[in-house]
Amino acid sequence: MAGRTDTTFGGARLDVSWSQIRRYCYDGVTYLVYGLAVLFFLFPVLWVISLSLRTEGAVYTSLELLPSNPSLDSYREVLDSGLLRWMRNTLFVAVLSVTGILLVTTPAAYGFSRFRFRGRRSLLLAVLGFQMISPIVIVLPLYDIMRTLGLTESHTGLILLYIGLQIPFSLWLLKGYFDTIPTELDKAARIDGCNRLQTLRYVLLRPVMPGIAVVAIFNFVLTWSEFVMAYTMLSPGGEDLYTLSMGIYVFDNQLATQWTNIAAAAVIGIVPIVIFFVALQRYFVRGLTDGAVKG
Amino acid sequence: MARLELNDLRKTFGRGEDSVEAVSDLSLSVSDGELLVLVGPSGCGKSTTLNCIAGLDSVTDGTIRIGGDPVNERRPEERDIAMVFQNYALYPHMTAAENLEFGLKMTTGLTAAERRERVESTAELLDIDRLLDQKPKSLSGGQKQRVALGRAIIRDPSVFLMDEPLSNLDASLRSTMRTEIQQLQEDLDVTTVYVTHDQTEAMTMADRIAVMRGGTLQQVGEPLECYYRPQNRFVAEFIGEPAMNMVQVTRRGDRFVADGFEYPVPKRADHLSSGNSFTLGIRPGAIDVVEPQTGAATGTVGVVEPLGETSHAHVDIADTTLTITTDGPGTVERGDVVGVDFPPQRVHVFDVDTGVAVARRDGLPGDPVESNLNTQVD
Ligand SMILES: Nc1ncnc2c1ncn2[C@@H]1O[C@H](COP(=O)(O)OP(=O)(O)O)[C@@H](O)[C@H]1O
Ligand SMILES: [Mg+2]
Repeated sequence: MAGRTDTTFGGARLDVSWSQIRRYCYDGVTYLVYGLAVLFFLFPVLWVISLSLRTEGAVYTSLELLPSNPSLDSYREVLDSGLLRWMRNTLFVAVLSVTGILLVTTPAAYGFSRFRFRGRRSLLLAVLGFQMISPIVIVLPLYDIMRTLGLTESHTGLILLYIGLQIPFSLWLLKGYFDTIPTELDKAARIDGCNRLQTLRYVLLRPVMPGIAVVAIFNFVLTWSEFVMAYTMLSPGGEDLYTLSMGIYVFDNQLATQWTNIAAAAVIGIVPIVIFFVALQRYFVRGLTDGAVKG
Repeated sequence: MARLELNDLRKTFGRGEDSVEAVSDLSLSVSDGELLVLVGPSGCGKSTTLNCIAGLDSVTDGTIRIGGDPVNERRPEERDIAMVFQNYALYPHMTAAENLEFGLKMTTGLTAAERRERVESTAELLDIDRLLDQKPKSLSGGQKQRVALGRAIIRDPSVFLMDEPLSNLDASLRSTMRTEIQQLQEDLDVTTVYVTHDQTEAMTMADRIAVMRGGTLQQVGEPLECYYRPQNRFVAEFIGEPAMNMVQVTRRGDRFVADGFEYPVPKRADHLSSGNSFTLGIRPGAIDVVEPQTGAATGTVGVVEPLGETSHAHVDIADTTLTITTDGPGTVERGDVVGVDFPPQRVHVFDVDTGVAVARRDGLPGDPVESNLNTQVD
């Protein structure tokens, strides 16, 4: 018995040193790949920040990431234009769109995940089919419809459009999350006296929160930066109605493309998204660590 | 008093072509305070039956009565039942205390203080009082199962329903929890339907066992009744470990014969016609090892599995193999030629086609008057 332990111990020690070397190599390669990926994604952002700090003349002449004589002129200029107003508009549209999307898709996803009813599959496929259509393709007929309804040149119309367009994807995503939650939780809740809505509200909502956070972030970012729909629906209404992406477009006018102003507006525009993401991020982490049912 | 009665319970999933009848004409009654174990292979309709009793599934046909009242139309929380699930189904975002309290909150008008008191006394009963502030994710499997039991007990229901509550636990914990649940059920004296696919669990815990197969009830009876007097071949093979040996034989005069096999027809099987074929069943533990050529058959010992106190030996006889439970190691060795014989009262005879037991023994071992035992359900 003792002899056997010894040999395995010796063998194990040899193993450990080899596997350690392998692991160091592996770790090194991993960090290298991560580093490259981070650089790849971060570089454009850094470049835009760099642009925003230059004087207009230095845009085409300098390739330095750190401008030699940085200036905040562009920030001053864009803040003096309508930028803050456009951001308020965008925030309003994004928050109400996300709220609307969640209000519709959360109960719908719960229903599709938990109830077996006639036409369930066809409905799900129909929803998926709608998702296949690019919004660009239908933007003109949509404009016609919205104009008939008197909903163009208004944020309400744009919000309704966003909600309608984003329901299919959000519904599928959220239904996927509901599907991962064991139905025994529903059963336990019903035995504990919950009706279906109470089951959703008190028992399933929290476990499904990571999914809701994903849907919220995804749609917030999307509506925050959306251009085509916003431009089509709002542009006749004047600059006061503009959203951020349209506002940035203002700096690209017939006379000149004001790159530093565009860059400065873009940098300011990113800030709320970062805040929103950081605020909801803990739900992702919780989603990964919560032992939902089994140990 | 809560007696649970199922009358011709039927449950069909889906419609038309691809409908599945999960439970067929199940009639069963569980008396007040009794622990009935519903046992059968996976997919035989145990969970469906339980869900119907709980009101989680609607029944297709038949009546469910709890305490004499039909409850078909009642919602789960109006049926005065509580249920424990295999995967615990604890609410992940609530602490153990909140998990226990939730049902009371939703269904009773108790004040927060009264609820707290109930939670504490229940936790004490289950020895989980120190875990009350923890979330499910930080509890071990056994602790989770205790909290799940607590959530059932705290409602003080008239019927407990348990769906494979121990299947996710490891073997040693499972046997401790088995005893505990049994003790708890006895102390609380609550009518209980306990579902499992594990025949050992069924045998050790049950007041009575109900064996199911493919949605139909095969036999209801006390564990030893099902063990010694199975009503058909399915029950005979499902209950008992290792499984009962089966030998195809033909009656010739006063003998059952097969290749390399000859056994005198026991008296209670005398009514069976000569020339017909039957399946003989004999439990591994009931087989006697005798001198070669003196018993019902003679064969060669193949694999022997030592278990300590006993061993399982596989004996090849003509084209069949019998499993035999023998004492300790060394009774028989691989390659030995041995005779086997069967005590007549331990031999089961089944119809070859239907599997129905055609010559059941009258009573159980140790019964003073064997014929008093007529509690079988047909
Ligand atoms: N919701 C359902 N829809 C369709 N078929 C089902 C459903 N639930 C169970 N079944 C079928 O009913 C049968 C019995 O299932 P179940 O009661 O879960 O078995 P057990 O609990 O004994 O393993 C199985 O054939 C299963 O496929
Ligand atoms: Mg089951």
